[in-house]
Amino acid sequence: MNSLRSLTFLSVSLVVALAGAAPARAQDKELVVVATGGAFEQSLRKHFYEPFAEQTGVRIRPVAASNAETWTKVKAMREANAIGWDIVTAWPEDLVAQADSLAKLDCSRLSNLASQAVDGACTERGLLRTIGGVSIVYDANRFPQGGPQNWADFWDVKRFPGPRAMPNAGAPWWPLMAALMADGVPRDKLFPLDLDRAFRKLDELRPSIAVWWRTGDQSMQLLRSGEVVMSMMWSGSGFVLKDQGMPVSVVWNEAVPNVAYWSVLKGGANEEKVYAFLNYYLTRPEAHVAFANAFKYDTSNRNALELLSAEERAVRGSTPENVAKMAVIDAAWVAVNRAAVIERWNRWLSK
Amino acid sequence: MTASLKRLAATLWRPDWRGFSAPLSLLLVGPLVIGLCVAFILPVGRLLEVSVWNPDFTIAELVRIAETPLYLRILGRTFLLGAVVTILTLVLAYPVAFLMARLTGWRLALAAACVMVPLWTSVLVRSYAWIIILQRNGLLNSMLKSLGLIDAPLPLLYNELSVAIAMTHVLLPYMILPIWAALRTIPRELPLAAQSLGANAVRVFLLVVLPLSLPGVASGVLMVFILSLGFYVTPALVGGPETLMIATLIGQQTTELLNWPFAGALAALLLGITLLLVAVFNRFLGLDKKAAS
Repeated sequence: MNSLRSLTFLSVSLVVALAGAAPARAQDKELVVVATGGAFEQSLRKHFYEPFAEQTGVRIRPVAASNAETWTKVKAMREANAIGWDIVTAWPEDLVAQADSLAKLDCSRLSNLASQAVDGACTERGLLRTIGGVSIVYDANRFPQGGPQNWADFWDVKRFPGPRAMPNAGAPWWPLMAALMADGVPRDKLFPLDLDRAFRKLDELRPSIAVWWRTGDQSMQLLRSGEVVMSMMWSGSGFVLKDQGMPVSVVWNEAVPNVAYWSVLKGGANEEKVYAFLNYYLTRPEAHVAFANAFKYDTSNRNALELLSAEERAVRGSTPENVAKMAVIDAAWVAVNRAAVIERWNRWLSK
Repeated sequence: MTASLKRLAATLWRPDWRGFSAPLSLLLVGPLVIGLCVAFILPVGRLLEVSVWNPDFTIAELVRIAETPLYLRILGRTFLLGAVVTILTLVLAYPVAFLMARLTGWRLALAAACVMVPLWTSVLVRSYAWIIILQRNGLLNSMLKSLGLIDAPLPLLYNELSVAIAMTHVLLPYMILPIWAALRTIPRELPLAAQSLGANAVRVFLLVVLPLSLPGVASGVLMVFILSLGFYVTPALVGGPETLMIATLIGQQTTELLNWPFAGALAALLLGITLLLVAVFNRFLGLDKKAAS
């Protein structure tokens, strides 16, 4: 049954932890890399894993796990003292909250960093992998005179009437940040979040929020079927809709940054190969362009942007012009306050 | 040698086919029991253990639940929705089961297929189907609009109504099948005998058929109610914020917040209240006695 899925998953994790059984340890010629699965991972394989194996002889064994599953399993593996993975996908707040599980990166060992990566790509516990945002995406057909351009517009149900959607996808600080920006807080002074103020502002818009979406597919379906006229959603999902012929616009202004890192688990025995892979990730801009075209998320390769036309550049989330318009998130604050914010969010939402 | 083999065979196997001997029974259920212990009872037990033993005995997690109205409210709502869904499925399932019990041959095969095929269809597909029917510009709203019954689309989706509808649909076979099984075993002579003694159709049903079908009703009700308490995907897909369920909260604590002691405490509470309700239910309906008769 559906209800048993997460229970089964938990059971398996706990059994691993209990038995102390090491998950099949990577062989010498293998690296285990964890990312969200599906078509996204297919594309990572094609553009990065397979060419890397060809060049170095080190095979990448891909493991599919959602962000939440990743850290649940890492926790179970650590309790069993049997780390079976090498590289995982981490969100900014994970770099702080999961610091105990992550190895410190020696950026000087990444020789391609200076020539290929965007500024600040190498951090203490993660190498910037992909760049996107949680943006306003609206149905342009409904707003021929121009749609909402910032969160104040998103809140303005008189000028921009129609039902809206917002995320209820495990990261309540996204809508809370949007609420504060709508209430006039500058996009770079949102933290520490004033929760009282943010929830008050959300109260105001709540009657117009038709759906709190839980998955990316759902957020896309809402716009496709006309259930809502605008949505706070992943920029990548918005661009996929556009590719499918939907007349939607993705607004980078005041978007909440949504980036992911490659992080290295402590206790892995493959250090040399791990650095070889991370360094390899910072090569071949044309592969990054192909990857980004398929998945609508930019990567940390700045040379990839140079290969694009001016029009294409204008809608990309990683250009300096667009990054300058986005909100600034304090991942350390999120890491510390996450549980409390989620509990208050649940309380507010189920009111 | 042959004698001892024969003795062994005699201990394991009774030639009269009346049933399996005790050792053979143990041998047969052994693998399943071991599998359940390793893959289910052990991890669940450990989860419950960390909720009160972390690292010393503590009831802090249970106190936290009691002190946070959110969790009690969600728990109450989960049980309420479970009850509503159980009643809805019962009302819809009984006539279907009643009809099926009177069918034979290809008609029965067709009816059984209509009940079983949805059971084999992914719960995701069935939930998405309801989205298509109930959404703002969906089938139902378009139909009502073209009939001129409504001006603006009704909010049918992403609320408690849609969750109750979708869950009822998903769980319906679990109610139909046990009731049908119970009705099927009622000897045809009994209703006939009642009729010949002067009872009309309503009295035959109320005094003969209904009481005899109660064991089926009881097992259907229990199965549907308990399954509905753990529903996870359907409320997430067709529900709104007001349909947050306890399973979702447990999942959130387990995988998003990695707070296993608290997840364990929530799970223990859900398990405890469920067992309690089953015991009460059993007390009033005498489920075990009915099932035996």
